[in-house]
Amino acid sequence: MSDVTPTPQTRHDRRRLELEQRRDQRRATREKAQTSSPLRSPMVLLTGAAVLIGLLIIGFMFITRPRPPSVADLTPPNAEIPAGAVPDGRTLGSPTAKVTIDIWSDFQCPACMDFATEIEPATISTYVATGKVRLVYHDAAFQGQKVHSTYDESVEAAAAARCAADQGLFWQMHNWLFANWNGENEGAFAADRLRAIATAAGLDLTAYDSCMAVGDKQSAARSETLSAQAAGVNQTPTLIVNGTSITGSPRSFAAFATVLDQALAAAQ
Amino acid sequence: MIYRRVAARRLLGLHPAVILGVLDVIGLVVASYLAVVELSGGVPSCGIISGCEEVAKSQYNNFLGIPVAVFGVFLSLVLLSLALAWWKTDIYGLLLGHYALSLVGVFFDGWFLYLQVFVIQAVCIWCVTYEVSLLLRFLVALLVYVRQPKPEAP
Repeated sequence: MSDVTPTPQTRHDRRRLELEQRRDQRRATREKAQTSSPLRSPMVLLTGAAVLIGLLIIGFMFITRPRPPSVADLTPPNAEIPAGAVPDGRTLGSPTAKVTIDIWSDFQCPACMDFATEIEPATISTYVATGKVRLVYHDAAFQGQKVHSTYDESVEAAAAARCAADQGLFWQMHNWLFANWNGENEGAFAADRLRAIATAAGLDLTAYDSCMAVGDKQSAARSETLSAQAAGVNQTPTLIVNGTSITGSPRSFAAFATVLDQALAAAQ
Repeated sequence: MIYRRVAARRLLGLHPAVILGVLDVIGLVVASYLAVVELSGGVPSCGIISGCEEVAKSQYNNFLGIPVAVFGVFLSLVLLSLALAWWKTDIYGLLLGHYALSLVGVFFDGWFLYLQVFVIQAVCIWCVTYEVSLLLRFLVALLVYVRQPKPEAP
C-alpha cells in the first residue's frame, strides 16, 4: 500500500486537498503557540507563585493581626507603692526631699513604660520611700496626636490618672496604666478598658465616671502637654532632676542611681 | 531549562550577582541589627529621627511571636546564598529564584510598611532602609532577567 497521495484528478479532490492542508497549517500554528506560550515560561510561573505566596502571607498576617486588648485581660503592676512613699495628688514622697524629679511622661509612650516599670519602682523604694527624693508627674501626652482621631488615648489615660489623683490613687492608677500598656493608639486605653483599669486600681467608679464625663481633666492634660512643648520637652520621658534634664529612659536603675546620688551630694 | 548555565550579561561592568549580593548584604546587616536589638529586649536607635521605638515596641512588630526582623535575616541569608551561587555557577534558575523570593519579600514588606504608616503611625528608618534594599533587589533581579540571554529549550 503506497503512502503517496494520489494527484487530485477532479476539482472536488483538489478542493478537499486544499482544505486538509489549511487544517494542518492551523493545527501546526496552534501547537506551536501552545509550546511557546508565555504561560509555560518559568519566569511567569515563578512570578505567579511568588505573587500567590505573597498574597497568602499578607492574608495570614491580616487574619492573625493583633486585636485590641480585651477589657477583661488586665495585668497587675509589678510593684506596690511602699508605705514610706507618701502620695499627694500627682507627687510622691516627702515635700522636704533634697531632690525633686519632674517626670514628663505619656502613658502611651513605650520608653515611659520602660522607665515606669523597670526603673521607677527601685527608685521609689530606694530614694522616695526614704525621704531623699520626691517625684512630680507631668503630662506630656503627645502620642495620641499621631492619629487624627476624636479619641486621644494619651489624653484620656492622663485624664483617668488625674481623676484617680482626685481619689488619692494617682500612683496606683499610674502603675496599673503602665502595666497594661499595649502599643500606641491600638486600643489599650479605650474608654471601656480605662474604666476596667480604674476598677482594678481601686477607684470609686461613680466618681471616676463623673470626673471623666466633665472633660476638664482632659483639658488640663492637653494644657500641660502644650506647656511641656513650650518648655522644650519634646521627648518622653523627660526627667528633670533638680533642674537638670535627662531625655529618654535611663539605661538602668544603677545608671539612674548614680545621677540621683550626684544630685543628692550637690544638694547637701 | 532552569538548570542550564547561561553566561551572565554584565551590569555596570560587574556580574549582576555581585550587585544583588551587595544589596543582600546591606539588607542582612540592617535586619541583623534590628533582630539582635529586639531579641535582647532593647529598641533600635534612630538618632534624631523618631519612630523606631514606636515600631519596635508595637505588637505588630511580631509575627508568630517572632520579631519580623528575624524573618528579614533569614530572607537576606537565602537571597545572598542564591546570588553567590548564581555568581559561581551561572545556573539560570538561581537568578529566577532570587527574583521570585525577593518578590515574596516585597509583598511582606509592603504589608509592614502599610502597618507602619497607617496603623502604628510611626516609621522606623531602619525598617524603611531594609524595605528599600529589598525593593531594589527585586527590581535589579527583574532588570537582569530582562537583559539576560535565555537558555535554549532542549
